[in-house]
Amino acid sequence: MTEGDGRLLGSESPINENVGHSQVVTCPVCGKEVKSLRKLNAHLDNVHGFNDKHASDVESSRESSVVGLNTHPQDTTLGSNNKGKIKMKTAHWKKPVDGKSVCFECGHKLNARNGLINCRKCGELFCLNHCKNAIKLNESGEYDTTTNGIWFKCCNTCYTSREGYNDFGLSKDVTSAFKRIRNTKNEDGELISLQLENRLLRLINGIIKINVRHQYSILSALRIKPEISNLERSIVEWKDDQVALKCDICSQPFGLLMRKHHCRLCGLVVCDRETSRCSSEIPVLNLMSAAPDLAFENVESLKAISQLSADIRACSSCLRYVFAHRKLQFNKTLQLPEILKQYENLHNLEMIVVNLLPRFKKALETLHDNHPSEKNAVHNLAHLRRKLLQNLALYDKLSKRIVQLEVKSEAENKVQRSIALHASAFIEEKMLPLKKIPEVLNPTTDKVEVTKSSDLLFNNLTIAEVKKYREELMVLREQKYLVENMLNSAAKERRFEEAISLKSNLLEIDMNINDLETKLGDEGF
Amino acid sequence: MNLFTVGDFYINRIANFQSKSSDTSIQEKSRVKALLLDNDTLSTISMCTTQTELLKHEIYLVDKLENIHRDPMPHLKCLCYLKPTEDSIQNLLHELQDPKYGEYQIFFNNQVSKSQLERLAERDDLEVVTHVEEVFQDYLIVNEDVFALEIPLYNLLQNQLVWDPKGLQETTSGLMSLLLSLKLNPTISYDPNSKLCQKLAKDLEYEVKTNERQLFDFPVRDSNPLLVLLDRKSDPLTPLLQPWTYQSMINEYIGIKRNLVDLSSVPNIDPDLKQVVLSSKQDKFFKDTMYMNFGDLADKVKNYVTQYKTKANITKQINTIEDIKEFIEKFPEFKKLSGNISKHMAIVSELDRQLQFKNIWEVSELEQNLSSHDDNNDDFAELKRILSLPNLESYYKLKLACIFVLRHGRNESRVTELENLLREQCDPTQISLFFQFKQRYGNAFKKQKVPQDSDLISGLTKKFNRLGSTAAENVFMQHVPELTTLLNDLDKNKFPQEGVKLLNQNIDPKTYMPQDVVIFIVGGLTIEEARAVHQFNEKYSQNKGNCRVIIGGTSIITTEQFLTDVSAIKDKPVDLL
Repeated sequence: MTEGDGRLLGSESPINENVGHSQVVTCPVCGKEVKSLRKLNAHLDNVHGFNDKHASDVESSRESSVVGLNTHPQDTTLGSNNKGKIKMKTAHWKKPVDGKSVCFECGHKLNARNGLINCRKCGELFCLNHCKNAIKLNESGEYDTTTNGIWFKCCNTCYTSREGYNDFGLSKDVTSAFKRIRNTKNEDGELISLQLENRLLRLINGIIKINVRHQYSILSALRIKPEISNLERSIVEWKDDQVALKCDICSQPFGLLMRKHHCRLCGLVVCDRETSRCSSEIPVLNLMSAAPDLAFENVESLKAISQLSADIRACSSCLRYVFAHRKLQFNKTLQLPEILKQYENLHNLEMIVVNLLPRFKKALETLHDNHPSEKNAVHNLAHLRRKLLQNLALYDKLSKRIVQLEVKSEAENKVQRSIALHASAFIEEKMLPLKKIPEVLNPTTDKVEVTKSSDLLFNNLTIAEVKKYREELMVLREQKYLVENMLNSAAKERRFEEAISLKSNLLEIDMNINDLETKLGDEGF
Repeated sequence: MNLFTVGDFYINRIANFQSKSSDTSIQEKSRVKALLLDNDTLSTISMCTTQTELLKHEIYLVDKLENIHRDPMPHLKCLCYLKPTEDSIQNLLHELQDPKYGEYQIFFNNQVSKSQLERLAERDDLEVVTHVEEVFQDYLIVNEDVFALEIPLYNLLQNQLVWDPKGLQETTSGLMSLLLSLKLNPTISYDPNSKLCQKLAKDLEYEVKTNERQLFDFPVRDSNPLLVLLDRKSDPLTPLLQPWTYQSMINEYIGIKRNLVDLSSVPNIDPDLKQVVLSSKQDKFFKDTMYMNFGDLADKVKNYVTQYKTKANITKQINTIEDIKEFIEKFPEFKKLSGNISKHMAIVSELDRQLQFKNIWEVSELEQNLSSHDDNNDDFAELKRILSLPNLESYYKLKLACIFVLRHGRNESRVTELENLLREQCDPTQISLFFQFKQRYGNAFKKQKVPQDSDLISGLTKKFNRLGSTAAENVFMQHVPELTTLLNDLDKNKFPQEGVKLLNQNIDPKTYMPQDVVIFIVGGLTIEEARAVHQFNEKYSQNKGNCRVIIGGTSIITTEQFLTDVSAIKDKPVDLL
């Protein structure tokens, strides 16, 4: 049913109503006879330059929409030459009121010149300019992508709100597949690492026992060695080194310079090249401290545990099984680097500013809309501005401190530079415009506020107000804490000018806190 | 179908993804995130975002995955954005072996194969990976409606009729990712004269079919989106002509890579301006002017400066509330303006310098005349005059000769005269390039042109169509890319009658009415063509037209690159048929 020429949308010509009555039609302009409606349309387009804007089109479309009961409202689809006509229910079409209807999109009055047409889908009235998109609809005017659908005219809204029209950004989560594979693999891994841990435990405990047994013996050095050696072989069966021609890990052939070694945990024959680190000798003490959660026995009974000098050779694979996880966990519990810690503070301040800024803008807005002379509003504005500036000054200082922090690694250095960049951009964006505003409306308003707040003290505060004040209070306390810290450090480093300005800052914050606390009264916390 | 929105969407998704299984202890401790990229995604990312934007997402550490000297930062969450190439997978395996960060979220910019996923999963015995996802952006976003795959022709083809298997694979997957990112399940059509396009079309269709269930599961649309595959070979004239619009001139004379314009070779340049960032996404002035011709551009820059001066005045006088309000609103814009102005001034003056210095005005006028006039004596006399100019770079002489052969190759006596002249003026490699060019395109063009001219009607419609869109252009922009014919058809809501063929024979091209179209040019895209598409889309957004178009190519080419591409692929006989 889609064979209707795609271009011919909407009602195009007054002759359309003759559809079905006769196959031969006459051109209304030049009187030439053409064979089918489609040809006529092409003829009109090509020879007479007809297009949507032509008045005669308008006339007909209005005709059909006005009547509403027109038996052929769907002369719009000219693809009807052999499949019969599609009748669309027109109940949802809006009926135009003479001289009063306006285009749903542009709001212009609809008349013969700019057209009067119903969007076939939503039924609203449009001028021709705003109703020239094509959409496939079925006979009840619903979007239909199957073969039942036929091209109709529709408005832009219906056009763009078709399913999938403005959709983008496919992504596919493959985490579950990933985890499934990982789990099956890791179950085996866990078994192996349990086994290896077990062997390590027995080995170390055995070594400790041997050492304890011989700790007072003069010949200890002579006796301990062979005993440990026996113990090692009892833990795991060593691979026969006669048949081992190459390292089990790096697959390099053994030779004069590539000596064979047995891993004491898995028994495989591996090399100990510096470059590949297939195996290494690790002091027992280090192993014990790296895995503190394993149950090493009778540690106390060894008087000088620090004298325990035995080493255990283990291959890289076993070490990984036993220690990689522990190392990761250990690293995670390490103290946060100073720079990241400070960044958290910086971020909090940033959030404060970001939250304050819309309030400031709103105050500016209300001031602008009302009378600029209104005093309270001016006070409020000035107050907010000062508060913003305070926070930003604090932000600035903190960011400078972060920049001056000593960093331990290149990565931290990079983070530091990024933070500096971000902070300066933030300050530039938020602070400079505020600073540039002259202090015209900035008579200090502390006193006024105190009186105001005492007025409010006995007023009933709404919950929203209480919430707001509480939030402010929290912010201020946070500020106070930060300023105090900075003050201390300034005092320590004997930067007195800074300390003085900080002190005044602190006083102001204290004052504000008191304000709020009085405002909140019993609602405080 | 704005590609920048798609790019933003993906970056936002990568930067702010909250996986359920994340290790909360890491997030509680630090909000800072690290981002690891490989060479491909580095380009992708830098084309559609800036460092400032990444910083806003609290990504404070950006590094290459392949850099093995990264310091461990176990408190950070690490986002990996990678192209699933063998190299990247290897590097990632290495990283998971000895994780430097506390938690990993991995994003691939295209489909990751099952075996790759398996290898990763098996290596992740420490369970540091909390999320793996495929997003689809294996292409570079040049403008909001232009993309490129950045595959040099050398890697793309074995010879001019046969794909390099790897090049084909990369092109297919790049296009697949584009389709997926825009959620299009396309009807594929191609240039029937091009074996390359046919092969690509078939491969793409196969890929789409095999992934129909898992990926291309989009709601059926009443008008199925159209993908048009074209071959650079079909329009060799457009990339030969000197361009005159802002973006294309920068591309031609200075070069722009990953949105960076390198001005360091410009004499007496301010050290701050040695490398400037230029993107139509962030820079509104550039967005407005990128498709303007040089004359309009000069006016616009002048206006821009005056605009700046008036704005600079605003900052000086703030007395009333009104002023403050305005100031607060305008200030950030003003800040950007001042930095921008010097940047554009520097670029425009450098362009101007090169135009003068290389004699482009003269050359380009002749180029345009040759390409749009019929063969005539005046043009040929001018051609001979310019070819014997002593101070003109021989490259431009070569190019003029190529244009002549392309347009008027039938006039053999003149071609011989031209060849003799060229032998005096150019060095041997350039002469050989000329003959290669002649061999490749001279024949092809002749064959096409003759029947077209004999068919009077279609010739007329073509001319007429062109007239409509070029009425206002000047002498330097007379030539109109072949692509406009196709766009004109689309404009009338119909499937192009000639030059393109549907892969699926069951669809009747007469009733098919494409509304969303992706055009892809194998062998590279010129910015002049991007401009044609942009103008088409502008019309759409202004008049609420019916059709949206996105254009892309295996790369964005300059005139010089197009010519060197000719010699880059070792030639086999042109006509294998």
